[in-house]
Amino acid sequence: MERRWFANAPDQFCWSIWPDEEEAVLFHQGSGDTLMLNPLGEFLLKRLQLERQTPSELTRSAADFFEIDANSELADAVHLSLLTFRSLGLVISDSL
Amino acid sequence: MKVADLSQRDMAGQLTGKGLPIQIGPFWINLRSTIPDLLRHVAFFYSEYETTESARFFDFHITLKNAGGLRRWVKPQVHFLLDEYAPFKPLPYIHAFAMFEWGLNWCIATTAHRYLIIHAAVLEKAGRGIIMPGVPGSGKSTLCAAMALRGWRLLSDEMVLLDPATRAITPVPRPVSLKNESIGIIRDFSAMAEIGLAAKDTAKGTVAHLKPSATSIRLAGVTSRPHAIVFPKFRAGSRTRLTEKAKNSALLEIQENAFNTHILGKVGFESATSLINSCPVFSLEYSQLEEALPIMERLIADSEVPA
Repeated sequence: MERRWFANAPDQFCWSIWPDEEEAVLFHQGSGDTLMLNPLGEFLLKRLQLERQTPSELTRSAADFFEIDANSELADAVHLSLLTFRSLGLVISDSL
Repeated sequence: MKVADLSQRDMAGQLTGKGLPIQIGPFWINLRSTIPDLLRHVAFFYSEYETTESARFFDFHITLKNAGGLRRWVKPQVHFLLDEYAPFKPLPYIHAFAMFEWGLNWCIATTAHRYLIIHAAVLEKAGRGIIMPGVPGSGKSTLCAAMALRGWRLLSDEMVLLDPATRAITPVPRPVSLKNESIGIIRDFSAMAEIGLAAKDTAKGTVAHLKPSATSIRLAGVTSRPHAIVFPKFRAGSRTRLTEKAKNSALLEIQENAFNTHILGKVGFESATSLINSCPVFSLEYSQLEEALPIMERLIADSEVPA
């Protein structure tokens, strides 16, 4: 059974995005941090702002969104992103 | 009434007595000190600033005084007090005037939260402001000093005070802080450069200040509009090059250079985004001031008017 992840205080996320630039800028009011996110990071956080998701669900939805295979490489990237976000206080997970 | 309208004796009397009021941009300070170097610094750099004999409220009551006890004679030190509170450890006595300038930066950066405060120089020509954020060593102050000596209006060498609602920039013109090699470069750059005493062996190396023009001080009440943002980078021997900078990395750097992002929160972030969207953003790599200056002039001549 997988943990479900969700955004920490999702109403405190402020985004700035330019259509001709790949990376998005996120300001998190809770921590006061400003971060530059690659498209996968942006997708995952926006997804977790909307609903609780397991890593497997996130991997599948990311694969659909980016039209790529939901392979182990993508699953690893999702897993690594979640750990990074957790260390920055952007996401939390529920208990098993 | 200007500080210069006071006799030397009256000015010294106020500084050593009830305090000398000085208007610096939107702020009024009341400065007290008996330290001769600081008196000379104020007489030289602040002569064109407004003062008043009327009773009034002050944004900052600042006192610089000698450390007591043995420190009066052995490695003498100076204390910076804001409203009788000492926010910093004392510095060597001979750094009193540098400590005053740094301390005043701190006073503004930690209290003026009606503005988004960005660590950047800002100058204006023809009503068009150029914002130059930069980390120490980026060549920001050197370029700023050179521009000021070529007729640009100095709004600030240290901080942009940006109104989050209107994007107007409020000037706070102060002496330009030059460090190490920059002092000689600016001295050689223009015979008009009025540079004060050098404070040696400070935490930032040798520091000296360039006097802002009387026009910059006189127009301190006139806000400006951002026309372009330029991130300067001095690199010895490099070819001078202006390149467009991505908005996202510019926003990230503006946020990193802002003093009060954590206090303004969403308002500050949206204000920084709005600033980035309102004008073009560039990186300027340079090694020669004489090559960099025409580029800045061309930016101002560019008819593109920010939204």
